[in-house]
Amino acid sequence: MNYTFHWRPAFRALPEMLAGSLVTLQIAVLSMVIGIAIAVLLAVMTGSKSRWLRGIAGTWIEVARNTPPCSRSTSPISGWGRSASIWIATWRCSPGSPSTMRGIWPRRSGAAFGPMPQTQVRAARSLGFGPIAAFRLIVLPQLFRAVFHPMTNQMVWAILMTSLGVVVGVNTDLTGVTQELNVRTFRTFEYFAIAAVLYYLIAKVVTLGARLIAWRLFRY
Amino acid sequence: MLDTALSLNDLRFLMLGAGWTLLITAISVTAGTLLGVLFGVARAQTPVWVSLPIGFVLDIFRSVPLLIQLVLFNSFIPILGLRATPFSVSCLVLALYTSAYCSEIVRGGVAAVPQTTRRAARSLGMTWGRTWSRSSFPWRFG
Repeated sequence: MNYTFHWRPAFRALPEMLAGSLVTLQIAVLSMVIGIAIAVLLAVMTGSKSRWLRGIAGTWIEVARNTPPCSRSTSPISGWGRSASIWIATWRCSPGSPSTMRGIWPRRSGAAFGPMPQTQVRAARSLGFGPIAAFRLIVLPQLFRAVFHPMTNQMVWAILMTSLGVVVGVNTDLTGVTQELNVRTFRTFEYFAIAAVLYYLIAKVVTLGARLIAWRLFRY
Repeated sequence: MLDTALSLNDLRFLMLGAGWTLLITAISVTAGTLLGVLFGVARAQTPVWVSLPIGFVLDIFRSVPLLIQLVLFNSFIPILGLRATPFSVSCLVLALYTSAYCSEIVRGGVAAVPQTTRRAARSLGMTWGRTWSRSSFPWRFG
């Protein structure tokens, strides 16, 4: 082994990479928010009576699950900068989430009993709850608890997926910054090793943070 | 002048690429699953001081983007003084990546087999290997 590691320039670039990490987190959070909004819509659509709505939602989910995010992002929106990677991560999040939610969503047919049996809603309604109050007070707390941990998982995925933004020229997130430094210095291993450590730390902070929140939140 | 329109020749080129994709998938999934079963069983059955380090290392593969892992391995192998084609590097990284996920699945499966079943099998006189092949494995894959 006759390779000399040059860690010092890599560590000098740490502030830049930390700024990139922040952008990565922003992208991930934003894509999660957009992804969840689309996912709830898709989950409702897959359960709808209209064949058209079911078809659209089904197509979306099938396409998003069965093609790599790289090729999806390059085709329609190359050169969109940061929004591109939001889009990638959103696509990845949105199909995962409706299937997470679908099992829990109260179904009209009694066949698909998730952890949320329809009878609870009926019981609430018989007790005099309005439809909105029943949803807010009976369904939502249980839905939220059941969905929380899969969502954390999805969040970690979103963070990892933002790295693909570099394929369409995103150069502000952690992978983008690392790649910029790499092409300037050709110290590939050192920079990417630090990037890997940073990604690991981000993922751990998110996971542990979510665990703390869950511990505090789900005492009911 | 250079013609950039999509032609039949390009299609053949793309199909060739799809073939390589399938080959990499086959190799990495096979190797990854075998390794994953090995790691999963190890994580479920060995004492903490063995299973914890294995779990830690495999967790790294699940917490770092695949792209970064590929670049990192690709630049690390020449540092070691070895030669490897991009094909073998991607097979190696994908196999390790798959094994990290697979070991979690296997570990979950092992945890789903009740301890009592395994004890009952041992009390009936089955050896450790036999317990695995006759009670634990069928339960997990069935």
